[in-house]
Amino acid sequence: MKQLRYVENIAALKYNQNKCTGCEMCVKVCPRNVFVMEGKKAKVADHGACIECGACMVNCAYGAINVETGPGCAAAILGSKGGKAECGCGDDKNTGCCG
Amino acid sequence: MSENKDCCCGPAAKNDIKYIKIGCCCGAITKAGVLPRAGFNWNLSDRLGEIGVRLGFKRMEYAIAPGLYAVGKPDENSPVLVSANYKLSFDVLRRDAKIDAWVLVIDTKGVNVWCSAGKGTFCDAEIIKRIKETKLDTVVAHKNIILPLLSAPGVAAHEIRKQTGFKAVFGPVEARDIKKFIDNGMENDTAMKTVEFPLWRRVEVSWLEMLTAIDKAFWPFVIFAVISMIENNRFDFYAGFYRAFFYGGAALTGIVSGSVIFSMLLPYLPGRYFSVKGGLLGFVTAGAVLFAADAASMPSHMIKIPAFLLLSASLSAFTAMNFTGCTTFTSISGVKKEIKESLPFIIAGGAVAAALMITEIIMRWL
Ligand code: SF4
Ligand code: SF4
Repeated sequence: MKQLRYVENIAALKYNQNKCTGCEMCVKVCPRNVFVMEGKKAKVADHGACIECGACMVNCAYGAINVETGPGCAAAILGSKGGKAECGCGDDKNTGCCG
Repeated sequence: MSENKDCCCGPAAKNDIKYIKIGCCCGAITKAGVLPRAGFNWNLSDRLGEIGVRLGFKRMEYAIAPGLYAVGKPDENSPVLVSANYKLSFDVLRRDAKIDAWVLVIDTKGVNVWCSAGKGTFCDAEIIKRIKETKLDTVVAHKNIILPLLSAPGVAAHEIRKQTGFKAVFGPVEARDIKKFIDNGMENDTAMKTVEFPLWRRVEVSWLEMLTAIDKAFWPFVIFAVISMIENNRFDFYAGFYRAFFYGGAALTGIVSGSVIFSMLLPYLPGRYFSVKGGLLGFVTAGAVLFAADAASMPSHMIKIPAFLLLSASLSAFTAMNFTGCTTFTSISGVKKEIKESLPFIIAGGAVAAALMITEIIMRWL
């Protein structure tokens, strides 16, 4: 099945190629295949698919990637009242998400 | 990220979960003691448990004790798989992977992999702690552990290696691909890395969304019904009941459209915003319901019909927007943008519908 996509060109994903050592971790961990290798460096190939999960940032040991993460969940954002959106799973008042 | 790693910072997570017991008499004897053993196949209570949590029953208490488990008949060369302590995560892993393995269950407060990684409870510090606590290095003769790919947002693999010597690799999204992953020299191909969201899974999560939304809408409608029973300064049960039935039908149409029907048609609906897709769908289904009910022949249908359509469309848009949290392809920036741009329309739609409903009641009083 073709990959479902959401709003494009908005993900807060910043990549500094100068710091990249070519370890390929970002390519391996990204569930959306945003990164690809181009020679000895990683490259952002599909920025629009990024879901801001943070996996690439957490696993880049060289600090080349920065992304603002948070749940892509309207209920969490509306419930946060301006504060940090937290996924409700784990609370008693959780909705059906996160099965 | 890895500086201030306090794993147990999950908000309001339950700490007093009673763990469900795994394994029976014949534990696995290792240098680190006798470990509980589980098979690949599910027994009746595993099956009933799954049905229960899928229906939303005690979902937050479906947890097993953290620690090291033997699945099948592993030896010192068998792979080590890391799992959340949500019992369903563990059960699906042993059933679908179907390989003799050691499973290191970490404490995610009974929450599944994707969500606990997002919350920070499925994290490298917790894995490091469990590796040391279970003396994993005495149980296996190698230095590899396999993590589910969807735990990567919470786990810095290099930290685990630095602090325990174990090389953490991210395996496939689905447990059924683990054997292929290992045979492939611990590499994923693109399909094994891709998160699928097939029909049955969409419907499964939307079902709970629907129940939650109906739950929230129930009492406001009871109140509405009672208020609208006051007719011509007397209490008219039938009129109020009929009206509540009609608009309750509108609300239900909206909720069912925005959850279950929406989830089924998700890949085919136009637009990127869930609220736009949901709103359109709610409008169309409402139109179909009105047509089937021959609404044009009802008294004061010039008010009732637009109210029905708007109520259904706005509730459907809102319910669908909440479905963003059930998917794995939305982003927080995107959802914030969607909320900013759609919520005013949803609220306006709901407000106009409410105004029409009130107008209709008042007109009957005159
Ligand atoms: S993880 Fe970092 S260093 Fe490694 S390839 Fe990606 S950007 Fe480069
Ligand atoms: S934040 Fe997640 S989706 Fe976006 S590029 Fe990084 S790993 Fe991929």
